[in-house]
Amino acid sequence: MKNSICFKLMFFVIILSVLVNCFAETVDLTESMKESLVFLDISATTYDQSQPWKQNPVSKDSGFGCAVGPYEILTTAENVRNLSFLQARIYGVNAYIPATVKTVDYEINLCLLELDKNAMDAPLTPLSFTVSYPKGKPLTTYWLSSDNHLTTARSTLDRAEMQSSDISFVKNLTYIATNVSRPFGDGEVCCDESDVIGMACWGTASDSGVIPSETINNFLSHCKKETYNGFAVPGFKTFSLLDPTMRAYLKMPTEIKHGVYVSTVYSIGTGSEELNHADVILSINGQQLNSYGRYEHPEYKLISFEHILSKMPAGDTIAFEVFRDEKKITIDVVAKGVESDNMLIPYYLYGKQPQYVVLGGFVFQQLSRDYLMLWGNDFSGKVPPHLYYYYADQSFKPSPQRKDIVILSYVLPAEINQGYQQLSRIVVDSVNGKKITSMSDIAAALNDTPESGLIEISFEMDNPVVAIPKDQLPMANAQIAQIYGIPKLANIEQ
Amino acid sequence: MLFGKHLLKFTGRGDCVGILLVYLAVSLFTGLTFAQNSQTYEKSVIMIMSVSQEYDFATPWKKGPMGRGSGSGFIIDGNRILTNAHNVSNQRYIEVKKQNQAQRYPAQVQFIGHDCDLAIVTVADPAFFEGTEPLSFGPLPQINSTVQTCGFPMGGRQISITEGVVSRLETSVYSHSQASQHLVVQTDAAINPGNSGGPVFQDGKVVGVAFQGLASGDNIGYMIPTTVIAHFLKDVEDGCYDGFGKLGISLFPGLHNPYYKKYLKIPDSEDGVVVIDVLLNSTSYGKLQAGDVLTKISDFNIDNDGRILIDGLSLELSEIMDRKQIGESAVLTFFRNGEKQQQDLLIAANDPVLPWNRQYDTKPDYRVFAGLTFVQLNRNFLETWGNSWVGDIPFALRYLFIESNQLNKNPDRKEYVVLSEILPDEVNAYLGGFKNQVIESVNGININKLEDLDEAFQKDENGFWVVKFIENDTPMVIDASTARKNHGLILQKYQIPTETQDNEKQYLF
Repeated sequence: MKNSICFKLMFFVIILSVLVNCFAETVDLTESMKESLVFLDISATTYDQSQPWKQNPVSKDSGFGCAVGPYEILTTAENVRNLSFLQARIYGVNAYIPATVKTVDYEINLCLLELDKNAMDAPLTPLSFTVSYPKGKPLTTYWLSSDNHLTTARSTLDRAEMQSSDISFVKNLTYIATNVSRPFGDGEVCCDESDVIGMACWGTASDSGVIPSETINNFLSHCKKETYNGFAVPGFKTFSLLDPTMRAYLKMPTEIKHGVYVSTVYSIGTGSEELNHADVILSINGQQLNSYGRYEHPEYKLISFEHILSKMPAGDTIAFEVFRDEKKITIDVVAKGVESDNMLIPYYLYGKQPQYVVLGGFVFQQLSRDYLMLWGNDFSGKVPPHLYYYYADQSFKPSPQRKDIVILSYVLPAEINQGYQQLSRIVVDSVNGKKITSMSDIAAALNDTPESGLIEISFEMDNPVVAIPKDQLPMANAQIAQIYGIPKLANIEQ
Repeated sequence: MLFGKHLLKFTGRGDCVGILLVYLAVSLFTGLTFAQNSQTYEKSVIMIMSVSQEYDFATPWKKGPMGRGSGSGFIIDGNRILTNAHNVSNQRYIEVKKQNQAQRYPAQVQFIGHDCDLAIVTVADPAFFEGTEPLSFGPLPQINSTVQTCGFPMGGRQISITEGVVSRLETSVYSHSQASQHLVVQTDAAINPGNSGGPVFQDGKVVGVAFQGLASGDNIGYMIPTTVIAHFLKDVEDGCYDGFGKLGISLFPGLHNPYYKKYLKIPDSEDGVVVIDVLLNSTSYGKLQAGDVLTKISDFNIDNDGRILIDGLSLELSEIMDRKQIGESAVLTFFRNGEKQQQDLLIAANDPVLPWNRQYDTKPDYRVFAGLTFVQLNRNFLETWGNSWVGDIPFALRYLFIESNQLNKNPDRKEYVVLSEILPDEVNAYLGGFKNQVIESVNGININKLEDLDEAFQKDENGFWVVKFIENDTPMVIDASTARKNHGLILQKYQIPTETQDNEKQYLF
């Protein structure tokens, strides 16, 4: 009798689980997505960092996106970096539709595109993003493939964490999906049953990343404003404050057991003007930080303070409670973004030609992360250490005295530079006695003609001060341009 | 050395690593039999077997595993055996034996020059020298002349005599030190480990000591020439080895450019090299300066590549220093602001504050305070990261290692001190993040050498030990009273013989 009951119970459980699965399978948005998803055909061009006057061959790539307006498409910023031409395909239509970038934010890895209305028969159906964190639940991912099929993949939402994308230094909230049936592609749409909860931003064979709706909705609402200023990025670095001895050294009352130590304050970004080294940040906008700098979020649980900042539009005021000089104070901190162009060593140059000057065969360049990547993605142990020092320690510390690091990349051998041709990868200190604080200073310094008629260039570290005859330069430059095929001898942003 | 440093820098890290690793301490070997004077070879060439053991430079109270090896050597006047330093470095026990004899004799290292990879070994038992004949030395061999190498390649019992041709003479890195550069003679002999330290003959005289080969090339072997051997033998005559000296300057061979000459106000008729840096505290410091143009050293004119013509060969100007002893001087002729000047410069070790040379036969000094272990930052410590240490070490250490001459502006600094290990205890439970950082100060006292820690840790700042680091704004803070209380227990728990060691830089034999 007992066995019979057990058997019936097991049978019931099996039937129930089958029904549940069947019910889950029934939520299929394939049909409704047909009017919202696009396939992106992407052409990109980068510059050769070792010959910055030269473009690399055009690369072709593909990406995905979804409608967020009748003619507006949301995709990842990674899809449009170094963009030279973009066209989209919609479901059931063979012809490509030209697309242009309306707003791009590399820091949060999102981009708003605009399709050419005139090339479309009908508007698209915009999707709405639902702010939701269905941890542990199955996700369905939708995209329009290159051969115009609406395609899906399955995964499970595992966790949320602050993570920087491959294209920026800024950490943003990212959902991590595991057990992926197929690695996510940039711009695919992720759904929890019928709710659209985010956009895929990276994928591997084991797990994939999703930009959640809260970031997307912030971006889209900000795009509607007259100017897009981005969101707050920390202008400081923290160090965990676990050690009770360190707290005692800072003379913190024993009852204060939370807060994170400010180890470095940058010259750009949020808090760069308001915070001091050795401050202890106790809370941000009322959210108490633990010793690691994390706060308790109702959905994401313990998550880094960077999450609070990432939601704050630039220009807003953020309340920082800090422990400074043996007392608690509250500081109004203005939310500020960090633009790559303003960094001492730009993190990226997407779509921009590197700044350079070729002078008597001397190739002067702006030091950038893109340049350092000539040594490969893992360049830290390979690049000349003095260059890496500027990248690792000084990137976020530009000053009016130092806006760029200008390097002599190498010397194109010619008669005028005989004897100097082994000089390479060294930091320029001054030209004609004037400190070089940016690429534009190079051009300005060259306008001077020293009495000797020689342009004097000095470098940092143990490198020589060299001299080039100014009156010989026009002819030498012309010859060098011709011999080495340089169409333009300088590209300097003013 | 001077030019070498620049070449390494300009070629980038990959090439630098290549140069660091490319040389192997191996010797010359061919299978030919050489009849002439074979009796002399048999009576003079011996096999050396040694056991070596190095310290762990991160936790220097511990020694690493033992290693065994064999090499060659030969008898010179005074019942001495000349061999390579790398045959007997970090030795714990040495034996020597002659060809066709089973008997082995314990031996001792008398002098060792790690910068020139030469050593003198003696045998206490006079019976060993019975029937032996000391060898004598000849001049630098001519290019394309024939030489014979002699030794025990691959540890065989019979002396192997091989023949090769002198391919060229050049200044090159001696792989044993990984940094010192001296004259080498290149031959086309094949390379095999084991006869390092063996003599290379020409016309019955020793013209070199076989010592290394180029692993990436075919039939490229090197011997130490007699100019370097002569320096070593003369150096030890006073009972101690001082080593090879340097001027402590960095040079730039840029005067090929006529406008550069004009800028530096050098007459068209003059050739030379430009001083671009003078090592802090070196014997050249305050006497030479960046922008000086060296045109002559002693009686030798310097060309625009920084080379001199000596013994019919175009060699680096450092060859003059190599032929002089530390304590001697060299007259340098140079132009400064267009004016010709002369300086008598003392040749000295002029080691940088963070030397590139590997250390051997030294007991590394250390300090342990409350489980915090401090050692000198040196190449041996960095090599504890393994074979790929150049790329794997923390950036701050790599930056200091490669650029210490430029980064150190402190004339009082004798060495950099690094927090090499943290022996876990409640007093240092949260300090793991500070490991491998370089010390700036402790309790307000600048740490310019390891011994400075002794005084610094006697103090405290309001009950705290406060350690500040180079290139890190966050201090390391330790509760001083707990640290003092737990100190002895930590030493006991981790079996550290004593928290301080005398700064024993002398050799251990």
